[in-house]
Amino acid sequence: MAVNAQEAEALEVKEEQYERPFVEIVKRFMRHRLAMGSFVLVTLLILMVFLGPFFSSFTERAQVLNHKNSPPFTNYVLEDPITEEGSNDVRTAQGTEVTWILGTDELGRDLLTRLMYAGRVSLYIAFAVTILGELLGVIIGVISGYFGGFVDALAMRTVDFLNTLPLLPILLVLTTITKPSVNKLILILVFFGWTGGARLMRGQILSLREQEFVSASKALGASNTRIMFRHLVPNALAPTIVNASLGLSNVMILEAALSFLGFGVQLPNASWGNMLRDAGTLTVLDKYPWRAFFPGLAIFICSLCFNFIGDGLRDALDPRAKH
Amino acid sequence: MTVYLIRRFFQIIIVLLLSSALIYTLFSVAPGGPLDELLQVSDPKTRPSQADIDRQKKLLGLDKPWYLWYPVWLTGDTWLDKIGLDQYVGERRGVLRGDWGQSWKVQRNKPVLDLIKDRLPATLWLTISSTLLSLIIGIPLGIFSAVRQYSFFDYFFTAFSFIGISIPAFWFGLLIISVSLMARNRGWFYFPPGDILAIRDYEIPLLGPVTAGSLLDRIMHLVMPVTVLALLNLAGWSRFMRASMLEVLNQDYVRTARAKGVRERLVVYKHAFRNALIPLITIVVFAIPGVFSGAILTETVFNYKGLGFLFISALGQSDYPLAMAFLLITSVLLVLATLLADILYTFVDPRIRLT
Repeated sequence: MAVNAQEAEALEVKEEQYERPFVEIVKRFMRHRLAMGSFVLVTLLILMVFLGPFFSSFTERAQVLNHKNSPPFTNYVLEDPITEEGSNDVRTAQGTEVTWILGTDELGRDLLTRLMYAGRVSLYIAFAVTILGELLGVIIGVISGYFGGFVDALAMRTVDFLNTLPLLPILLVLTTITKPSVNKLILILVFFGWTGGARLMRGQILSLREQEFVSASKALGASNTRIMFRHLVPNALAPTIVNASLGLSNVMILEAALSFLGFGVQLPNASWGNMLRDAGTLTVLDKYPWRAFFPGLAIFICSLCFNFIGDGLRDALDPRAKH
Repeated sequence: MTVYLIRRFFQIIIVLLLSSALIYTLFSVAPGGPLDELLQVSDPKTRPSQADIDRQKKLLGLDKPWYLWYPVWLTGDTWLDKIGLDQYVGERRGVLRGDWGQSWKVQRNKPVLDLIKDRLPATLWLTISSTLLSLIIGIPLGIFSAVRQYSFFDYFFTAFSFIGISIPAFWFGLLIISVSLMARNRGWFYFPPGDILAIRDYEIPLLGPVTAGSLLDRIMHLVMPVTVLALLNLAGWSRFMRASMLEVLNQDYVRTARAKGVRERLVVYKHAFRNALIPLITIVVFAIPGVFSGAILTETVFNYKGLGFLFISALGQSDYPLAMAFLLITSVLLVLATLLADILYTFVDPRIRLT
């Protein structure tokens, strides 16, 4: 069959118009400039935090005791070599001129290097808590929404009950009692962090499970597990993703607050929150304000970016949503 | 409504029993406390005898079997002879009858409730003024940016609210302390950082001398903590107000009012504003317990010796009765605020029926 030029053109246009949903979402996300910028910034920050220490002249705990609390951009010719932690390999040779780009802290440690190590801990906690919490929330939410009845009542009463506990005070008490390591802290935060995700998922499932494709898969003999996790969850995931990205920022601030009060990540592990704790005294704020400025700035930038990314994701995943 | 209230009342009692049991369990499995300290003394001269330890145990209620701990803590042990447990009768009156125990460390042997009563006014000053401030600033901001949607101001406000949501409040507190200290060092106008009241009279440039302990002194010390605490809610509330106002402005009755030729000012302030305020009321009520949590951070940053500061020092020194009292009070507040918010829903929006 001969196709004339006009018809061919029409076909081509049609082909251009059709795009896979994923590509479309990415395109919509990229149109949100702030979100895209935030995404790039966060990626750079993560790269810097995880790769940066390898290129730094300093190690996490190397101290230059005669240069405590130096201001940013102080130059210094090393009198002693800086060695790797736990061995005698020389990292930076004696006589090298080094620059403390963000200054040093009360023990003469390089603030920038320490900030990167602390960032690993803070970002690790934020991502781990959010991912585990949302995962748990999705699983509980989908089970309780799909089966309903007693399971649903039990799950939702648990959510209600957890929500009647004052979060920050109870976290403070729990961390006082258990003195948790970083991983245990993550578990504690997850324990209180899954409720929002579960509620959101359950709400989605309640409306989805009445639709025809669920009856169709039931008629085809699909198991409950298959219906829940192959058919229902992928269709209900969009709000959860948005929620997770906004949750990242909350977890980050919560962890920082706990560590700032001295109850979260314990020394010698550095996190952005407990770096601020060291800098929270009036003397430091008066004389060496940069020590309080940079760790907080890092938290602020990350949480701002996560919020923007969440906003962008909401626009991209659900263009009709009003907010 | 009455049926609903009665049902909610019973629900609340169950929730409070559960959460207080949870809190009690948490603290009773916690390590530390006076008994551990007594047992750890190794100096033979000061080591307590078995009789001393037993007496302490009786004082702490640990001589009783475990299933009586929580009931005794809740209702006291003066009534135990009535159910045939004569050997456990004691002097305790229990939490429900106002016996919240005594402080272990922070102020030894002072009743916990007295300690809390002493610190409450300072925290109320802080929380009430910051809540008012965020309402007074937040509501007009939200309305203004809704009325001028997509204007420059609206974009500016959106950016501002993103910053307000993302900024860690305690860091913001540290920043303004640092700025204030810088101003003081240069002889400019500044706000005194830390404490509730000054010990000595001081002088502030441009303002003149301030008498220690006067109202002016209190206000000067309040300005920075209140700003920080207000910021916690300001962004969220004004954003909420904007969304609610936008929704109301699209309603039919607003269009009708405009069609009738009512002046725009009147439409905004009389027709739209009142209706847009409704959802905000519940949000604000619900946020009140959160203000107490926020006070923990703010009071620590500013060395402001209120309830939150007391809680942190109690936790730091393992003074569990005191910490437990704070936790109980905040959780009761949270439960009551939830109920209040639910009830207010029906009052402000008759379309909602609670059954």
